[in-house]
Amino acid sequence: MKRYWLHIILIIFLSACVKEADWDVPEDGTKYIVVDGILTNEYKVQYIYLYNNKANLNDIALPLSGADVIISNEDETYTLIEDPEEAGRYITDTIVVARFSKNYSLLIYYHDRFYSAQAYMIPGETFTELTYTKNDDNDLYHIDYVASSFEAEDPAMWEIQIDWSSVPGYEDKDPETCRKKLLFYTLPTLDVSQVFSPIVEQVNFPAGTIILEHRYSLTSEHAAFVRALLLETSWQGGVFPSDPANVTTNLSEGAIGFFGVCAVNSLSLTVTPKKN
Amino acid sequence: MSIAGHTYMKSIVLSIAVLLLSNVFIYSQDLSRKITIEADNAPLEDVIREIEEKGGVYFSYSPQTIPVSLPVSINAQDKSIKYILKKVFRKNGIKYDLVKTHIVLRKPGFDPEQDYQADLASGKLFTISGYLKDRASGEVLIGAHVYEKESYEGTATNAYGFYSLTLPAGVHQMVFSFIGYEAVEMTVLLDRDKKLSPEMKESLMTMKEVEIIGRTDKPLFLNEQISEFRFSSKTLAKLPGITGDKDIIKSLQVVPGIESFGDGSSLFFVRGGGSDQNLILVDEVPLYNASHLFGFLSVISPDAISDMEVYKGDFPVKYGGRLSSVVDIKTKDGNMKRFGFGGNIGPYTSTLSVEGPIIRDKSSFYLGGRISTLQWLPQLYYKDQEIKVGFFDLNAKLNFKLNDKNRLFGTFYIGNDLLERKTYSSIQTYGIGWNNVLGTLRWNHVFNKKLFSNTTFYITRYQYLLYLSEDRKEYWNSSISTITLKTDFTWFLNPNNTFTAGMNISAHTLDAGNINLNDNSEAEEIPNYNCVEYSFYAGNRQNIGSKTTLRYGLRLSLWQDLGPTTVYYFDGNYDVIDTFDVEKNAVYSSYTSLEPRINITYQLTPNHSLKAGYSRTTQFLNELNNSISPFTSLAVWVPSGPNIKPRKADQYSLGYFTSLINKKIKFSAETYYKHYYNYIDYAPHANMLYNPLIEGEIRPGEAWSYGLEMMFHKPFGRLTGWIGYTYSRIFAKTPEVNNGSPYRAFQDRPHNLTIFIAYDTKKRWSFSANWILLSGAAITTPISFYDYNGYVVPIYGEKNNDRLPVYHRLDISVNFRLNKDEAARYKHNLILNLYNVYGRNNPYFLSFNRISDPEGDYVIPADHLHPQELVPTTLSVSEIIPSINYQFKF
Repeated sequence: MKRYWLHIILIIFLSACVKEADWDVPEDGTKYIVVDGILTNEYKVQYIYLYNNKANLNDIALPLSGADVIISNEDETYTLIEDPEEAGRYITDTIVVARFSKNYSLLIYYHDRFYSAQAYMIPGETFTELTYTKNDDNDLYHIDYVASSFEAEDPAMWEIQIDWSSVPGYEDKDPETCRKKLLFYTLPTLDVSQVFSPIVEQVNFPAGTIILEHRYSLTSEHAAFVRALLLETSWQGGVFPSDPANVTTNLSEGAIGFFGVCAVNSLSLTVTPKKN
Repeated sequence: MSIAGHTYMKSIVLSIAVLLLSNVFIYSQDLSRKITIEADNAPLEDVIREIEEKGGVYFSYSPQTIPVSLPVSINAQDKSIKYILKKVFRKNGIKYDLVKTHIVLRKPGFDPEQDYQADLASGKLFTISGYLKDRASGEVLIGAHVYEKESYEGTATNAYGFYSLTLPAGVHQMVFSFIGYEAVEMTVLLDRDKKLSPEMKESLMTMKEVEIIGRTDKPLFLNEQISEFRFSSKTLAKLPGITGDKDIIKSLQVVPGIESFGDGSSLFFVRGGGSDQNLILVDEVPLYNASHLFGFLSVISPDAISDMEVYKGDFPVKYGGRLSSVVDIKTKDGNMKRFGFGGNIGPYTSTLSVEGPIIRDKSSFYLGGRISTLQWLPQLYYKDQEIKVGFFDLNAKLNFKLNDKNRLFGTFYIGNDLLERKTYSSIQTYGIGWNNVLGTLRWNHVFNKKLFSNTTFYITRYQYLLYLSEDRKEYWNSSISTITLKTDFTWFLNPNNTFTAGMNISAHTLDAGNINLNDNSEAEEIPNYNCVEYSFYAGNRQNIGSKTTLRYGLRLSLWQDLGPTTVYYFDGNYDVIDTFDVEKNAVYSSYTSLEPRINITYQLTPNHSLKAGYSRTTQFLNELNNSISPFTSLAVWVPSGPNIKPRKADQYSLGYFTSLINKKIKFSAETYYKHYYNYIDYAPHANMLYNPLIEGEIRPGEAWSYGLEMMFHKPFGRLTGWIGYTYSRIFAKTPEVNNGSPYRAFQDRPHNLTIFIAYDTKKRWSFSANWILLSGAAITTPISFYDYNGYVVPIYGEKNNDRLPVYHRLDISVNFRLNKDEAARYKHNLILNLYNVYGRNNPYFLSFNRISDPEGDYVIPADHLHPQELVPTTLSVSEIIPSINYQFKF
């Protein structure tokens, strides 16, 4: 009985917090060109995405088709063509490797207007692999550490691809449900919203999962963009929310998003069984 | 009138005086009362004063005929007053007669009647001065009224309980009154300067005085200030608290013109000003963060408070350094008469205090502590996580009455908060903490009957910590420390003029955020700020005729920033264009500010008055924070300097005060306009915590606020309370924010309605309730979205284009007195509090970034490969919070 009352008190004391809201977003109608693109030093066909903004939270972003896209540096120019299999995805027509010490420009021509951005690359760094822990209440695992918590000198983005579609017992499932992509960042800044960010969905995976880890080096401008992006997305809505504002961009002429050039270091690992 | 007629009138007056002296006194002398008097060649005047104070008797004599400097020696331990009188006076050839409350001294052959008549005829002025005290504890009473019943000439005790009132020679019916105390009336034969220090008895029955003084109560209409409120400890005790523990800062939100941020927040906004524009003083020492548990509770335990005065504008000139309000809290001195203890036991906090005399009637102490008792709460709720939450605070005060002219006070306070929890964001942290430490020494000196001074030396330090390692050896911290020496003088020149003047010098040291690593190697060091502030002020309260009171004054502040430091200079795009390394103690920036303040009160009729005021205020210290959380987040203080000009505000106010329904209801209405210069806003996503270029994140501009505050107040009877309504607006204009167009400031909440009702039954129950209705806070909401690397990013239009839902809340408090006898020595109560009775969900933030997980919790999506349906969510603090507390006092 005593415990029952304690729970009642707890529920009413702490029941606060997060509730779903019915909130109408006012119609604005302004169209923006959105650039989502990172050129890397990986040996591959490089690509960027072009979209339009969307009126509602869960709308599918409309791809921007028909743009002319060029990436260049002091020595070379690459023309990107729209991927015939995916509208709004613009790919280089050959394998391109971004290089350190080069300044890259992105130029987009769309509906009689030019939009541009400049970026450069800083060197990548090798890193130690992430660690994971077995859940207390099942046989699945989750990632508990990616990188040192405070790396003021070396901002980076960590893309973590998790795939357990080939693990015995999961072969019959839709492979797409067995693949996840997580992002993690080390930034030179310290923010209250970051420290007390909202609870993030926990991604669980079984032993045998293959994890691909890519570390993207970030320039200070790119890190500033990422920080603003996180302040408006993953870090927003915690105990100490920051004053909302539009995310910065390196695009000109009112386009939004970011064009970056990153050095990528990668490694892969397989999740091995552990005891709790 | 003929000379004969004049003489005839004098005879009548004298006859009346004699009649009064023999019949009308309220107090009666008890010469059998035993007291202790020790004197070794002390002046007779000092001995007389000591007998007056310890024996509760009053002397009448002419200093011209009584040898007041005659050395007297006596050692009377626990002897009757009669015995002491005999020893002191008869031995020295001085006769004394007991006339009701007065002991009239005379030399043989001297005719006091003749002397008195001469003074009366010449219109000679004499001064009554002294302290008003609580009879039971000896604590001085602040803001008590002292006035002459016929003429309404009066004054109020100052912050140290001292008063001084100069009146013509004659017989005066004096009234001493104070919140929750039985008024004292006494007839005084004013034939010389007199010291009267009556001890007032606390009223056990329904409070007959004002509880929250809108400073409009007759007969002191003219003496009171516009925009000022005072809370007594009794008023605070009646207000419902969030956790059963009464809260001094949250109690402010029931005052028109003061708006709380919302649930669980100790942040408040006064007439549109930001939360860092409020100066919170504890025994004259600034508190830079007044919150425990992020703001759920205030740092000063309500048990330790004796008085709280709040200024929403038109500050007296002695206050400075903030733009919007002053909350002047006085803590208890400690009981000079007897030992006692008190406390409060509750589910979230518990307090204990002890107090008593060190030497009876000479010195006292107060020691109070509070500790959080809610450790059980997170441990049960967050079973899987390592969370520890808690706080404590400790108040200590010593009070020494060195002699009639000198008093010494020492106050010490420490408060500490700690929340330990591992956070698994990209920065792994292990908790946060903050603490306030302050200490002060104050010396009251009465130069003479008309000149009072207070000199204060204090140190205050506030520190905020974010722990980056589990052993708490690696952390980010910011701090602000102040050392101040100040002195104030009050000169009660005559009933029509009271001058104040003073000065202070403060040294501030500010750490705007540094990271301390174990090996002291990696983190870049951000230099501290060092500043010195000098202030000088002078003012006067002047009565002009019987209907007009004028208060005017001038405050001069000089500000200097000193090295060693590195100064960054920015261009128009806020990029660094130059740096300058400043040597130690070299002045690299200085400002001067002159702050005129004036207000006038005009009494239209005995029942109606008009007030108008203008004041300029300046603020050199700035709390930089772009969080819109209701909780006090990791605060960073920086001073004015080359990149941050001092903030200034001009406020104009106009008020009307009256009483209705046979003076049972008081009504006040005030309107104001306030203009802010060098208003601070921030660059988008300003980087505040660890940024050597933090000054480049500031976007200065201007702001303006205006409003109307109204209040109906029923201060008397078993049913007391008030209804207050405020309409207030604040807008800002900053060239680099919102495309340079004006925008609503975050704290713009136009409508605020507060209702407070308290009811004392004849028996042991009392009830109180308050209801608050407040416009939702201004917020910025998206006008569309875009996708980027799996994130859905909002796009915003105008700043603060939207509002959160209306805030409203009902709180109830029920108090049951457990001791049947109201006057019992051991008093104890059970208090039931219900905060937010009907469980209103009052959101403080809206976001568009969560999904609903399989357990039904709203979380941030982690997978960037497969888009999931996002839902708008609001954040709020609490629904209903019940508590039951046991309160005791001995």
